[in-house]
Amino acid sequence: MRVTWGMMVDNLLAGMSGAAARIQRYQTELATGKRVNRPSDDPTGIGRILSLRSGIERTKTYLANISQAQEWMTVSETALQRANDILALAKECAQRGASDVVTQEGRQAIAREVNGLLDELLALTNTKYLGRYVFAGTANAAAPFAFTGDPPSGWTFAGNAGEIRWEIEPGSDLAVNIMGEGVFDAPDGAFAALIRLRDDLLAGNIEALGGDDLQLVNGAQTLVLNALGDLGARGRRLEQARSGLEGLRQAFLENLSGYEDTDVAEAILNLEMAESAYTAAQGVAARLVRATLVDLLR
Amino acid sequence: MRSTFFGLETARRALSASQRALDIAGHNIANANAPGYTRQQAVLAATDPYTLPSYAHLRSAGQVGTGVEVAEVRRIQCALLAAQSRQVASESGTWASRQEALSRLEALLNEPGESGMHSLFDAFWGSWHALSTYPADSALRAGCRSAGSSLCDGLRRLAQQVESMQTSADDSLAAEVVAVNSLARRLDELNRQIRSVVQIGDNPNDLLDQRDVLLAELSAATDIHVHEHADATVTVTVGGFELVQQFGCNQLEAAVDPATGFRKLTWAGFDLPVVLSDGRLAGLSEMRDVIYGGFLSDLDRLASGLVAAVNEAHQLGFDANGLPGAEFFDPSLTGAKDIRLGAGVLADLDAIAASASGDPGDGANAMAIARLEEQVIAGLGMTLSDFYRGVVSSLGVESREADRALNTQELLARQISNQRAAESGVSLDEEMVRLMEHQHAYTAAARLLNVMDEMLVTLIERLGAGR
Repeated sequence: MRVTWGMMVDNLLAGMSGAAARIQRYQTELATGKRVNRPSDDPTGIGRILSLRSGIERTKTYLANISQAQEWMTVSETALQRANDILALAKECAQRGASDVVTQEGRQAIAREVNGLLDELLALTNTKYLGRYVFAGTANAAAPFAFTGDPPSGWTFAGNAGEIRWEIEPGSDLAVNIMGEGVFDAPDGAFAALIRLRDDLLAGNIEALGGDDLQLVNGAQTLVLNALGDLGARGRRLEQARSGLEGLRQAFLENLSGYEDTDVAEAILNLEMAESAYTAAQGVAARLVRATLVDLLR
Repeated sequence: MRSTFFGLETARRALSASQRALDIAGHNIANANAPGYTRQQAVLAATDPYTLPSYAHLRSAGQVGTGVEVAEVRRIQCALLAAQSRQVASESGTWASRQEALSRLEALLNEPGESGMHSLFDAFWGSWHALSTYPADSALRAGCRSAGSSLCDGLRRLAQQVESMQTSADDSLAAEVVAVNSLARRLDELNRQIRSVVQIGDNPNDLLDQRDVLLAELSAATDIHVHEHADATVTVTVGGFELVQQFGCNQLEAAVDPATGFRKLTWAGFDLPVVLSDGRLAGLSEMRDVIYGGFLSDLDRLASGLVAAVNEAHQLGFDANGLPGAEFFDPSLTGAKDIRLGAGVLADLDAIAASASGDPGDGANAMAIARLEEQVIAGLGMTLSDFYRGVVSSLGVESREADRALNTQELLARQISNQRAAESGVSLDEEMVRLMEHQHAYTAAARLLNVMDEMLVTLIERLGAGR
């Protein structure tokens, strides 16, 4: 085969630019820290990378929802525990009022105490979490409970029985709110029990105080305790979801790194190989321009 | 009887042939690096011997040689390699256009980047998730609207950029047509010059080189078939139609087709479409119609799928004032290039229908919309993210294939160009040896002349009648 000067130069240039292109590729990999910088770097991996990113993003959303739900439920739980305490105090009031040794004046004093408990109950049933009334159902922009009459002879409920459901895991949601309607607004709820108790105290209806009223307060307390139990169960469900999601997120992050990140050791090795190929090509170029037959013929 | 001066003529011919051979070697050396130059060779041949059979034939040994001449200035070239090289150039042209289009799209998509469409989609669904937890919060409503409008902006910008790339591909096509037409006219002119040189019996070597350079340029623009006639002129056909004829040439025309708004290639003066299979022209039309066009239609499907699904879910809900939801996205879109939010949502944050029951605290409809992310969209047959990922992934596959094919074509082109260089390229070493060879031949011929001269001196000076 005839070998011409032009061929040697062309091949040398091609070799040099090939090596330079490889150097550039590995440098990009090292500089960005990413193995995949455009879809064609890994066409099959790119789909995985994008869906892993979505997965991580969504896991963050769910974890944020869970934290918020936990805060919401803590606020509800505190309010319910206080309601429980109030009802315990009310039971004590009923027992004291039912006693023969207490005078009617004494009962009226106890009734004032119960009125105080009612005010306290109203305040806690109108508990807010970040601007939302937690016991109001979905009509939670305004205070759900209000008294009629002073001292209160009845109450109104402006909320509803709407559930507030948040997504806490892919495709699975959880009601975060306790229905004020079922717990406090019921005919055998805390408001009804306390008003009845106070009226009986004022009327000196000893028999009812020791019997029906006590039972009514007990019943109202059971409603509150049930709601607390319900919250506890949901709290455990949230905890489970959280630990599941955190594991998932970790796995997503590790997978993503496996698909996307540069193997630094490998990239450096490749870079060095490409660099030595480039240097070799340059060395050849330096030798190529030495003597030809032109220099030797005299 | 031998003529007295017979040997002088032989020596003169040898001198002149050597000179001519040296001229040719010099021409080769001078053009060693000229692109497209094909080395030339002096073909030396003995001149017609003396004597020819006739009645006047002399009774002595014959025939006697009469010296040398340059019978032909031969152009050392292999027609097959030239045709192969044109074929490779055409295919490279196609792949180069493809690779260019695909890598531009890749750069435009910016995936997997922080600012690609995928993260805009993520943010959009995330904003609905956030809204579902507190639908009455105007900050979350604003977040939802701005995520929606960023998504619209992203899709619109992408579509508009691809459209402008389509337009610039169309402009390049027009420029390419002008170049092809000019090449055709120059080839026609060369055909005429070549014919006149061949008619007087010479080899138009340098004109042929020029023509080969033009043919190589033309073959990068479009796939051509070259037929060489006996008078060394060529006919160049493109898709079965003669672009350059033995006498005259045709021209391409790129007029805007009102149906598509893009240029359509026809033969000027004939109402015939140009059939292209390879080369930059074919690559540019493919870039414009298939690669960019296909990508745009994918974007349009994505946009209309998104709009239909979100609007349908949005209209099932109730806004902050308890009224039934209007359209979240403007339903009058024609494609990704004009996707925008609905007028109601743009005017008033309260128009976002997050509630499924009408209560201000209910975020169930926002959650239903957030869940569309995982739902199969009727028009696409898959989820929006799967569709988008599929588009990105197949773009990656095609781009990688184009990179590889272009590399292969380049290797092939280099191999063929090496083969052509081995055949037709100027080797300086070889030309040096030729210089030496012909220089020695010249010296020897001069020596012969010297001897003849001395003979004549002997004859005339020593034996002369004047003595």
